[in-house]
Order: sequence, then structure tokens, then C-alpha cells
Amino acid sequence: MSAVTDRRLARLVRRACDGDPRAFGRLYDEYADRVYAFVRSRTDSSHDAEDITAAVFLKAWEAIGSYDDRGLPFSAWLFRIARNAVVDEYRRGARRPIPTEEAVEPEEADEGPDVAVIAAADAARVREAVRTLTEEQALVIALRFWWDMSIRETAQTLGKNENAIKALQHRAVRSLARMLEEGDDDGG
Amino acid sequence: MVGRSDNSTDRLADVMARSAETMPDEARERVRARVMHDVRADSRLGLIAIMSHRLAVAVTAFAVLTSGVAYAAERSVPGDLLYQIKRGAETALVAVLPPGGLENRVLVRLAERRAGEAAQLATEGATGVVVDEAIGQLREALREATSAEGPLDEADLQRIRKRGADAPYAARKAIDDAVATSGSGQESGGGQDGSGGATGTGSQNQGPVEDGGARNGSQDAGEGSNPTSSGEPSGETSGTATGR
Repeated sequence: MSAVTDRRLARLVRRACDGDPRAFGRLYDEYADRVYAFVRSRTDSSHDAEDITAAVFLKAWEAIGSYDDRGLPFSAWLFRIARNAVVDEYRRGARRPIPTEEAVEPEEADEGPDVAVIAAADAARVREAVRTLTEEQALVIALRFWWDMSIRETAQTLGKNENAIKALQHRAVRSLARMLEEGDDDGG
Repeated sequence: MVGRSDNSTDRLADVMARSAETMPDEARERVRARVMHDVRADSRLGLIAIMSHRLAVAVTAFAVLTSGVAYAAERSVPGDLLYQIKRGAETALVAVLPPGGLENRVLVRLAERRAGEAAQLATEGATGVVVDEAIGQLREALREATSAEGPLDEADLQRIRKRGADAPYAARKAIDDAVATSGSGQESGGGQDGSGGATGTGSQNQGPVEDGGARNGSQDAGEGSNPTSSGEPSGETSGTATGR
């Protein structure tokens, strides 16, 4: 998904930190799809998702002067803004409740059958199923597969340990497979 | 078991990656326009603040320009009294140019100027540290130019190199190195990292950020040691103005 090298990205971030709008525009080009994919998975309409995506980048611009790349990677930093923007939207609009769950130790189960179920479904159905996941599961799905982060990066971004991320991913996959299977049964 | 699990994970990654909802092109541009409109407006406000600080300089510059000292300012090099006037005028010019071709041309011309200054300093026998600083400024100018429009074309690179053609060997080579690596992602080549400046003595070069590595530029924030204390956004309160 990345169109620019890490080095070029680092330069863009540094220039944006220095207040360069053009560099920030290029960061938008690089991250807009990822932000949108996550936001859209947590909102009910593409219109809302566009509004929130715009808000995410504006907040990022306002805060980027204090961004320090020795801490979180830029993508993790930006994702946190996106997550906060979605939460703000929940609070404002009283959209769907945000289920939470306690992280557990990863289960040693073979995901193969679940993956096969998900693979057999079309992308739109999978997206719909992701929308019904708990917030934490959806966050993990978004970071791992739409933002292309490793387990470790995902753990860092969400402030959790790697086992918790593995557990959340596992449960997310199980939930997705179950929902897709139930959908198939309902549809005959 | 491990291999099976890995295969399953890879397949899952493929399947899930395809499920990401991409923003339609039209929407992406629409949101970009909204964002950039506000970003540029905010940026201009920051510029006004900067410009007000420089008003006195500008007034002085105007007086200078109308009193025949303009020529001297234009010819000035780092370390000269008039050099800040020259740089201030450049900054003001770039700030008011709309993004696009004209701005890109100006940025290339500024890189040419920086090359010429480094060459002039070296020719006049400036110390290695001073020349290295000038080379660092050249790299910075090249970075500005390439950041605006990607790698420069060969004609531009030739013009910049030419400005250093008559300089002593070390400076000429440093200029050539800076030009050769501009926009290539290798800007740290030729002794940019660590203490080895372009002419062997400097420490002020403003090289690019290295992946996971140390920086050598002096313009970055102080070299902290705590990897977790970043300027990370904090919830809905993250949008604090940064005083640009």
C-alpha cells in the first residue's frame, strides 16, 4: 500500500513537522486510504467517514508540530488520532455502543477453517462483518491488515502486549467467520 | 504446524487486505481539498506571524535595496552582515508563491545559489567548518526542491553542479556529491553522517533523517533518549495549536 519509501516518508514527516503544507499534503496522499478504511469500518455511512477522515488530518496538522518520531512511528501516531476521532464521533452522535473486552491469552487453535470461510466471502460482506466486531477486534483488524502493521507494531500502537493482540486477532477472525457462515445459512 | 500457521496467516492477510474499503478517487480529492484548504490557511497565519517578526528586517531590506546595497546583499555569503537579508528575502518570496511550477523553479534556483555560496566560500579560503555549513545548506535547499517536485532533472542538476565547477577540489566534490544524491534517498552519502563533513571538518550538515539512525542536522529537536515520550496525540485534546 505504501507508495513512498521509509526514508522519503521520514523526510515528509519532518518537513510537515516544520510546518510545510506540501509535505503534509503528500502525507495525506499516503495515508488517506488507510485512515478512511479504518474510519469507514466504524461508521455507518461513507459521508460520515469522509467527514471524520478530514477531521483526522486536520487534527494531525494541528498536532504535528509536537510530533516526535523518537516515540511512536508516524503511522501509529496518526492511527491514534483516527481512533480518537471515531470515539469522539461515537460520543457526539451516540452511534453504536463500543463493546470492550478483556484481552486473554492467545488460543492455540488452527485458524485455517475460519480463514477459508472469510476467503470465500466477497470483500463487501467481509467489510460488513468487520463493522460488527467489537472495537478492539476491529482496531486489530484495521492495523494488521489495512495498515499492514506487524503484531508488534499493532501492540505498540494500541498500547497492549503482543499476546493480547494475537488473542484479539484470533477472536476477530473467529467472529468474522462465524458471522459470514451465519449469513450464508440465512441466505440459504 | 508452524508452516501451516504461517500459510494461514499469509492467506488471512491477503484476504483481509482485499476487504479494506478504499476511498473513491473523487472523495479522496474532495477530502484532500478540504484538508489542504484549512492547512494552507493555518500555514499562512503562521507565516504572517513569522513575517511580522521579520518586518523590521524587511524594512531594512527595502532601505538596502533602494540604496544600492542590494547588489552587495545579493552577493553575500554565509557570515556576511547582509546574508540574513538575502535569506529573508528568499523565504518571503517562496512563502508567497503558489505551489506548482513557479515555486519549483525558484527552489531549484535557490539550490543553485547555495552551491554558488559554498563554492565562493571555499575559493576565498573559508574554514572547512564554514564550507561544510554551506554544503549543509545546499543539501537542505536540494531537499526543499526535491520534496516539492521529486528528483530534479539533469539540466537542473548540471546548473547546480556548474556553480561549484571552479571551487577547490574538496568543495567541488562535496557539491557534486550533494547534487548526485539529491532526491535519491541517499542524501547521507559522502560523509554526511557523524563527524565527517563534506570537506572533512564540519558538523552542521543538515542531512536527511536516517531510518532508525542518528541525525546530524542541528535543526532537529534535541537528541532525547526516552523512546516513549513522544509528542503523541492525546485523545480529542490532541488538536492543540503549535504556534507555527
